[in-house]
Amino acid sequence: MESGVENLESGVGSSVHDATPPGSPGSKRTGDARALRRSLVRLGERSGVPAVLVVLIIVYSLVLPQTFPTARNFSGILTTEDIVILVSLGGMVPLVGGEFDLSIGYVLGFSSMEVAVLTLNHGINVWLASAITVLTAVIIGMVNAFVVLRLHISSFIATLASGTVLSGLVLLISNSMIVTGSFPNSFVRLGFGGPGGIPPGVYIVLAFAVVMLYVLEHVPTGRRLEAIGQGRDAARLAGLRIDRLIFFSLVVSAGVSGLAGVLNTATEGSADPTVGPEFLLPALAAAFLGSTAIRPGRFNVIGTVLSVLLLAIGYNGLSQLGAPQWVSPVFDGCVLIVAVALTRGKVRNA
Amino acid sequence: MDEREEGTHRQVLLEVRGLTKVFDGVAVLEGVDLTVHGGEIHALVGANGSGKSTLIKILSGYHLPSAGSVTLASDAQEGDGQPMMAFLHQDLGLVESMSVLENVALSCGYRTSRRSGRIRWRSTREEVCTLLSEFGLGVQADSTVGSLGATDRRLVAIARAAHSLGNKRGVLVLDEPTAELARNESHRVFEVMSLVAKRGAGVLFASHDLADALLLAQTVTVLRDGRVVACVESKSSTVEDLVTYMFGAAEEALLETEEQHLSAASASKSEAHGQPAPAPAVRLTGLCSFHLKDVNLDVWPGEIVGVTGLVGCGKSELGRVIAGAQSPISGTISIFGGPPTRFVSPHAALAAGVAYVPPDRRRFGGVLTMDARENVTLSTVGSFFQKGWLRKHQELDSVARQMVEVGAVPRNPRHVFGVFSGGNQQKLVFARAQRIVPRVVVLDEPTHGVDVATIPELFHLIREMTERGCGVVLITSDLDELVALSDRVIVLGDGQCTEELIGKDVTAAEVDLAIARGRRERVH
Repeated sequence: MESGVENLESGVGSSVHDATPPGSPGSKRTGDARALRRSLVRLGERSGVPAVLVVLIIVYSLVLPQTFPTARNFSGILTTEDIVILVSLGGMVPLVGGEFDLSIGYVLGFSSMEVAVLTLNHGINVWLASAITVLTAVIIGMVNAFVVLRLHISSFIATLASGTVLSGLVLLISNSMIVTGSFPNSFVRLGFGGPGGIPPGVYIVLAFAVVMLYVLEHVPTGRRLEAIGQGRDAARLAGLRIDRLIFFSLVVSAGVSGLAGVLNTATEGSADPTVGPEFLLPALAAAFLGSTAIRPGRFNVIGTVLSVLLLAIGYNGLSQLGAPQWVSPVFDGCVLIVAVALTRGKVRNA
Repeated sequence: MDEREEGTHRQVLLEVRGLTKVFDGVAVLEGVDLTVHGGEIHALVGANGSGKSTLIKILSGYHLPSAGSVTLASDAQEGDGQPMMAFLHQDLGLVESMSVLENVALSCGYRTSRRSGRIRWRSTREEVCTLLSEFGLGVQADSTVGSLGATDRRLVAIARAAHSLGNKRGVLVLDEPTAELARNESHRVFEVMSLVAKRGAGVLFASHDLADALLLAQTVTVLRDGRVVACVESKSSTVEDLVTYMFGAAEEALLETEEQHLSAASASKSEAHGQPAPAPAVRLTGLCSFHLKDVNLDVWPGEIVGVTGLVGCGKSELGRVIAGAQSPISGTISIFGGPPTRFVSPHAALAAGVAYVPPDRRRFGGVLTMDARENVTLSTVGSFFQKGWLRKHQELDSVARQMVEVGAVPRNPRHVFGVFSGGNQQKLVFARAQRIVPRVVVLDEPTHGVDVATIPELFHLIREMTERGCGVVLITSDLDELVALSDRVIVLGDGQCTEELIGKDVTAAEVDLAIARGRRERVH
């Protein structure tokens, strides 16, 4: 399993090496035309996802001029996708370090239920309940890390198991029923309205994406995490503290999923014990799709956010055009395969 | 029966003519001729880099020869199909979690029912048990390979390889069949090899151990720098003869570079030893680990201590223990007179000033998919984190400058590590080591897989480290490299220091003899 990911990455990763940077003295000697072509190829590699995104927006705007290019439609897309973006970014952190967190969907579901139960059934202040919930999620991340690092169980299995346990605990704390009631207005407001017609929840998610961008790409920790993901043995011998980094990544992914759960309850106004697992696959798919763009071969924040939007907008347009429901998942899966295959194909030609 | 054996003994089974192999313009093998007869045991000896393993890799089809031919005589006796070769590489290719029975069946085929394709376990088992008893192996067919000792594993692998020849009189080729075994165990391997030859197959084995070669083989072929320099009858030869063949001219050629280096080395050494150094750069006291047994060693600042020995002697493990990549069972390490300690992780060793250049660059040396810049600053990326930002331009400039210093080409810090050639990758690993400003440097096979032209540059980088007052531990199986660099050589045998060579004694021939002596002494 892990080796599969490595292969994917090494394939994608080596695509960066091909050329001298455009404009360097070397490129003049080899001929401007060739250099131009090379830099175009590189641009194409980096900007596959954004380019498709732009094309989709243009095409849908032309085909559906009344309903698609409207502020209302876009704020609607952002409102439904902010939680997916958040979970994708959380799940991406362990992927950067070469580990899987399959419990993110279940942590989301559990947290969504926990905040509802604490607030509605136990009468705790909703913000205090939110804080407790995120803290619980962080503890779940620590447990995951303990199982992976101390019991030496692969993260794939460990988080699959902990996720399964959580799916049972949700039933326990909710009595297997939807928990609903009146949340304070300030809490529910996270999910709708807000400045510019965009709900505060979306701003929270975007702010969080910026923080992630900073931590993963502008702080040494991000570089180290990438190194252990791409070459664990070499990184260990270079003196990197593998255990700390894995601990960090699993705690972040669980904590972020907990936050997403709280946001989900605010948006929905209730907590459903069956919510959660359906977030897992789209979140990981977006992270993988994101790794084909912006910084090909590396999981990255901007690529992941754009990938969530690409898949969402693709679905939005298709459904407005009257495509039946089954089309959307088929579309998502095919996009993922095609994007990864194209990036790898370029490597072979290089 | 006897007549039949007599007939096959004369038969030429494998004939190699004018075999030449060129890598990157360097001839690794040049016009090698070799003949293996049925029923004969043929030894292939030579120093490291003489071309033994390349020859075996060509025979096994891993490399294509640049010129020359390999001919297998067709088997007149059986008349069915192609004659065959079977190989036993240093990695035995056994699946540890599977049983002896399954391991044999994996390569020789399971007996299956014609009709359903189902495995017929009973007849498969009978076949394997017959094989085990024929070769006198006292192992159960059902025991997992992982539970067997090193010798038994090797015997199972040899029996399996011999069995895969089937009834045909093929050639069994073994690469260092006894390298990892204790001396008193290797005779069991010899018995099995003799048995294979008695049954009419030809046996060709590469060996580091000259005494073994003379003891076991009828014919010994000596390789030097890719050429056959002698093909002798073992009855009329001695170990000393073989050493002369192996190193004869090489010794003289080495002398020149040697003298240049000696003057440089003595200068640096007198510097280091002139003023009494307060403490050794590394002091190992009673170090024991999986393979190592009570190793004591002092490496002084400015000194290069070479560590060598056969495969499995624990030299690589010694490097890992000093670098914190493996925890010792007991014993301590002290850096520049610091408190005796044990490193629990490479990070701890790094913090104490120990830099490590690991073997197997592609796996341990660098992160293949990350660029040169990221690999060079892997240990020290924190130093570019200023005022809340990772200063990437500063990092890029700094690495670009350093790439010029160490001579890594192409000089683009954005190139991915995996596309650099072996030598340039190693220069980048050295650059990373330099960045931590080490006080002790541990090098494990630093020039393995590096093109000939780059090796002197790496030597220069290594000497430069000693000039800065580092203690250098050079772990290598390449005797030329060992002799060219080391002020002192420690020979390891079976996890213990068996010999120490200083100054004039550090020659390829002496070291090779010391390695061979080390193994023999352990028997007595």
